[in-house]
Amino acid sequence: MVIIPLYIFLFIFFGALLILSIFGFIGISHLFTTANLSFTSFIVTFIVFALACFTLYGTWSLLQTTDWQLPVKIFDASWFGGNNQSF
Amino acid sequence: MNIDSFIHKKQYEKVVRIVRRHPFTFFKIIIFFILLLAVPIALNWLGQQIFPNLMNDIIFYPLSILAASAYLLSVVVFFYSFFIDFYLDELIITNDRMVDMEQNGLLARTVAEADLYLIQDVTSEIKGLFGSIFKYGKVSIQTAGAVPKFVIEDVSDPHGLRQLLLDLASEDKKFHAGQK
Repeated sequence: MVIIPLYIFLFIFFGALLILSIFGFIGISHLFTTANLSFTSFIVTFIVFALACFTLYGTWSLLQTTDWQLPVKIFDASWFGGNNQSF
Repeated sequence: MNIDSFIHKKQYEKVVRIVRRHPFTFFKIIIFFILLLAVPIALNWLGQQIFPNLMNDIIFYPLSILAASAYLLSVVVFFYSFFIDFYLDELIITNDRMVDMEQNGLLARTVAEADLYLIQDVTSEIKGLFGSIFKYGKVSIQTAGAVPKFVIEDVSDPHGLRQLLLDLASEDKKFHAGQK
């Protein structure tokens, strides 16, 4: 049986967030390096940033009461072979 | 950085036009991403119908929120990548040359340029229902330079652009003939 605390999933989420942020910053840097800073690019960047902030705020407000120490069973041999203790 | 330093503009050079893809061609991407954003809402609704108590589970609830959040953020970032890909495909036309920049995804870009006097042939094409309604299409430029053919897809008013390029090429040919 493999049990991990729930906060491990939160760390995985932060890892994904870091990777997505890097992609976002690469996109913004392209706008700067190719001289494409315009009203259109500003508006789209603003909308994307606002959507990301809104999603993160929603996630934070929905998970405020979560107990991150809860154990999560991610593997149990009995899922595949039945209850071995009965033999 | 401004456009002048990006293309290393010469003293006598002036930017005549910056050509991008028609905004309508990005509209399809917007619709697609709106549908993608609606997927977690649809799944939540479906889950509520099939397993009404699933979201009351103290483990499943935070995991589903984290998964939905990661999914939505990925969709937002990929939308931005598509916008960058769309917006950075551009043709910068000056009175001396044209610079074709093509962004392929977030991590690849091709920049090619050709002197206008090397233009041999320009073809414009409008195809399809939306192309005819919104007047966008393809322009192919045949040159005698290192890059023999430039193809610019989905540009606004391709016939006008063809005429502009031919006029500018004619002017540039006269200028270069006068220099010899």
